[in-house]
Amino acid sequence: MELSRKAIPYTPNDKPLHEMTIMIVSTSGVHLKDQEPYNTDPAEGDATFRIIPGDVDPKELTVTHSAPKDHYNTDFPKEDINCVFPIDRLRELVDDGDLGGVAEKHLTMMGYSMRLNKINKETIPALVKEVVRSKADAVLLTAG
Amino acid sequence: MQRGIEAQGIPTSLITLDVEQSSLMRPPRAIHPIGFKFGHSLGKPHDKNTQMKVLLAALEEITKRQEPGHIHEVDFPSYNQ
Repeated sequence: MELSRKAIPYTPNDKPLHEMTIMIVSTSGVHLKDQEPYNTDPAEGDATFRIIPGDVDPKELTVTHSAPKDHYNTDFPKEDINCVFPIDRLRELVDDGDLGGVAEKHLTMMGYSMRLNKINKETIPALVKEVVRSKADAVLLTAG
Repeated sequence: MQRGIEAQGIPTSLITLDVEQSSLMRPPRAIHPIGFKFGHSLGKPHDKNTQMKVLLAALEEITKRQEPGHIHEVDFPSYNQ
């Protein structure tokens, strides 16, 4: 569906957090260490996304991102992925009863990819389909 | 991306450090943790306290009525400690 740039889609929500399942969708370049890293060659860019299992061990995650290091220093999330991908914090909220649940999967991309046309026409519709299928109640978006 | 997800009827909340870029996209719900550096948009490594505060601020956006297109500036003093 093509949306007017002036209109802002806005979904009202009446559910309290303790009944909601939250999914992370992030452009921080997070991925599993055994998944293909994002392509950091600016001439090629990268319009793909990765699916991160909901039960992932945070130690299995790393970051690949083409942004200059003085703009986005990936050393920090490599040391503690929760800097940009707060999976442990979400689980703590669930354990405390403050949040309903953490989604069965999460989605990541690499910002700074420059392939905006492909991303808008192909990647985002595919990614949105994954979000809808996941039955998450709401999505937390994080960047680098 | 946020617009695409919201258009399917799923509420979203964005944590952004790039207010200029994000403002152009007019997000339905967003917070900007003031003064945070890229690489730790939720807080520095192992600073669980600040990470949790930022996460909760972003999640609470989903439970309150919002003015879409407005990015809430939020100060987290524990970030600088």
